[in-house]
Amino acid sequence: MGEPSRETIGGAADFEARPAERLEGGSLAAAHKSCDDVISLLAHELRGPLATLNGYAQLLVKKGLSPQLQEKAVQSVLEQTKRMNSMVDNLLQASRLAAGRLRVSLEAVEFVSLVRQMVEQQQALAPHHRLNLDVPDQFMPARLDAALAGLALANVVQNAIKFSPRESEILIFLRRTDHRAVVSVVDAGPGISSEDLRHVFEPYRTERGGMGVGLFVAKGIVEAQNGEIGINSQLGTGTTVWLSVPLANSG
Amino acid sequence: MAKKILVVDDDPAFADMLKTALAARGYEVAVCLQAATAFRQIKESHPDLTTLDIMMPGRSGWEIVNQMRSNAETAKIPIIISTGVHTTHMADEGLLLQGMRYEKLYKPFELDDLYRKVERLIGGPENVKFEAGGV
Repeated sequence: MGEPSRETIGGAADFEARPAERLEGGSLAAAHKSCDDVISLLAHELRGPLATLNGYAQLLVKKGLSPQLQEKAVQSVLEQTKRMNSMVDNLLQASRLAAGRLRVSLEAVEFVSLVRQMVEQQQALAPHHRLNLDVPDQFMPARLDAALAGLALANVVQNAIKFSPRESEILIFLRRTDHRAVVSVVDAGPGISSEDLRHVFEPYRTERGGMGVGLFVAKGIVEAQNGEIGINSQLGTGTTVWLSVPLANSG
Repeated sequence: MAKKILVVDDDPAFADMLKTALAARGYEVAVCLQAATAFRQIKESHPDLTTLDIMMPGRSGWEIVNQMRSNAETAKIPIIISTGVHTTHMADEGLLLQGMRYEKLYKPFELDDLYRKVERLIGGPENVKFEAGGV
């Protein structure tokens, strides 16, 4: 499989704390407003899973649910705690990226296993979507920060899940090209307009919902490990996000 | 016949929880996950009440309120406005909601508070399954 052409590569964080003395008059007020907007957005996004978790906990206490619904409630409580943890992880990494302080700790990783494990985890969290993983029957040794690489991959897959209709299929291909591994995630969502596509890797862009940090964090993590990330999309045709990472020479 | 509630929210997990909570109480509940199709679904299904998330991608819940208010078929459908932001979103919010029957619900919330608000707007279900305060 050839590496798809890159349509958009985001730049540095534009939500970076700037010293007050560099901001003049209206721009200081604008920076405060922007900060307020971001905090309001984050509060809204975190209260979603919190409200779900809290609601199911109350239903369980009321003891009026059928055994089937009790099981569903407990499952959802577990899923929402994972979702909140992932949101907090992303916020932390987004903040570090914006400040230029991402901490990368490289270790020997088998990339095929890493991708397979991440897909299994995401499938468990998304029972209404089918994640179809296509990986070659070979080892792909790499030196990566496994936790960060897993977060980047998870963000890309979660994005695909979020924008795809329920019961649709999301294809995840892993291929080797020379000394790189390339993962492509193809969704059946509505696609992205060319205007939104230009900003898709920028932080706190929420035109498409959510906190607007997932792809920003994925890009920062991938590039910090000498990888690349790109996106192809147009309205009505779904979206493909691909990322590549260097493999160790021994492969 | 059970009273019908339409839950409009882009968060599938939250919408599922709300559906479970209201159905457990005895209401008939449907879910709409897309703001873009919400007004059409409200107009077609004509629920006794709709819950509406205000912050959704693509189309704000306020736009849907405005559409409902401007249409004779939907203007009288009571609304529960749900939001995770505990502040007012629009300066002219009061004007937008003028003449409409509504309640506000801030996430996270007590289920008994949800049940009380629903009952204030459309009354209780035919067969109450959970009593408010009956934990």
